[in-house]
Amino acid sequence: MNWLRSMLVLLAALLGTLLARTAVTDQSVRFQAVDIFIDSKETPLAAYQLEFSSRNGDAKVVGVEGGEHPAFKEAPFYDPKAIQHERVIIGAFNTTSGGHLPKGKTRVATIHLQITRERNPDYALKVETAATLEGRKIVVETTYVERKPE
Amino acid sequence: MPEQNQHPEEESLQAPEKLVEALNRLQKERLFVPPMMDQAVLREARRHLPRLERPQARWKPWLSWAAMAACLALAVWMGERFSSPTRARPFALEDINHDGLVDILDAFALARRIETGGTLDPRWDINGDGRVDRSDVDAIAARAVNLAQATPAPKRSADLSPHGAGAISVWRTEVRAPFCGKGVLGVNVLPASWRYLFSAHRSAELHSAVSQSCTLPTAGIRRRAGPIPRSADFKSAIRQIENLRYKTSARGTENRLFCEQVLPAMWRQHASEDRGNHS
Repeated sequence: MNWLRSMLVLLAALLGTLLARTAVTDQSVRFQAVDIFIDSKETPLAAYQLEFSSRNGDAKVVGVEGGEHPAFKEAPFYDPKAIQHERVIIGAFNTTSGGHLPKGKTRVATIHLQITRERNPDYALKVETAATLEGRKIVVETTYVERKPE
Repeated sequence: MPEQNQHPEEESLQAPEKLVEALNRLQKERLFVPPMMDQAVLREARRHLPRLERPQARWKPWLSWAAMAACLALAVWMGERFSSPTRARPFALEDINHDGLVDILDAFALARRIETGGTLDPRWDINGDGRVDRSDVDAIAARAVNLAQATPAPKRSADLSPHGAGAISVWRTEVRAPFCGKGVLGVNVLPASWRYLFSAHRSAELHSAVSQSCTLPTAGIRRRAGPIPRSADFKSAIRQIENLRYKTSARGTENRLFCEQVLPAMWRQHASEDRGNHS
């Protein structure tokens, strides 16, 4: 009976190792939300288009959400093919009057990502265009903030 | 010893003495030709010679200027045709604001026109439903954020690293032949890490009339055009990348392993060979 007991112990050890390995693998995949901000200073922002990408390919886009200001509350335009890829181009506009458009720094979108590595991914954000209500192109500053898990 | 005459025919060329005397006498007794005779001969000659002359084209200065202008125009046309393959094209239908780009501002401009009741061009019916409305705005916006038509990602130094080799560039080379339009030479898929070799190995036969453009690879990452490596490496890369494309469509895991292991190994091998060749 000793050999049977030792075999059971060995089997339990193997099962424990296997389960622990699975748990570690599951922990390596996580989700993160990245808030996209645009600072148009004193100029009302009516339209924008920017490109967001993961430089090292460790993050994949799983969703795009609108911003905090009512003018950009709806989800921006984006290519559905960007889902499950490392790069996305988002763009949105609002044709309401200038009084209802955001000024200064405002969150225009949130990009949800799936992180496939334990290390923190490196992101790149490039504004392609931004304009006022009259369609005049303006210079804006773009930043992103990785939202901390709640 | 008397010198032998090796040219006996010269003796026969000597004129007889009588002839020589007659000629000498002729030189002394010169004939007087009156000026009237000279003028008469000259007048007859002038009358006769124009009939023998060929009609010659008269030199026209304006013709040379026209030829010079034609040459200049031809040179400008050839230079424009062969040196700038990305010459200005007509604006795309979606380019509402005519800034040369199809971006969200075009959708914004059309939306503003629709809302303000401005003049709508029938050509802005992008989706072809016979009306210019909000659906056309959405169509323009969809094209603006389309990954396939967007500008390529900027070049980064990290692309030259072995990790950057995982990024694949798709090459399209258009060769413009004189009077034959243009044709696509081929589609080559190259690791982005080999792009640094491009300047050194750009082949002369392609250099003259080549334009490069790149499109999205299967992974969805759009990059700038990569280098043209040496022919052996080039063929090897093509085989490897064709294999990669298959694997990409099959399983993403193999794609990742390939990008992380095989391509960096190829890159290192190529770099070591290149260093050996330079040394």
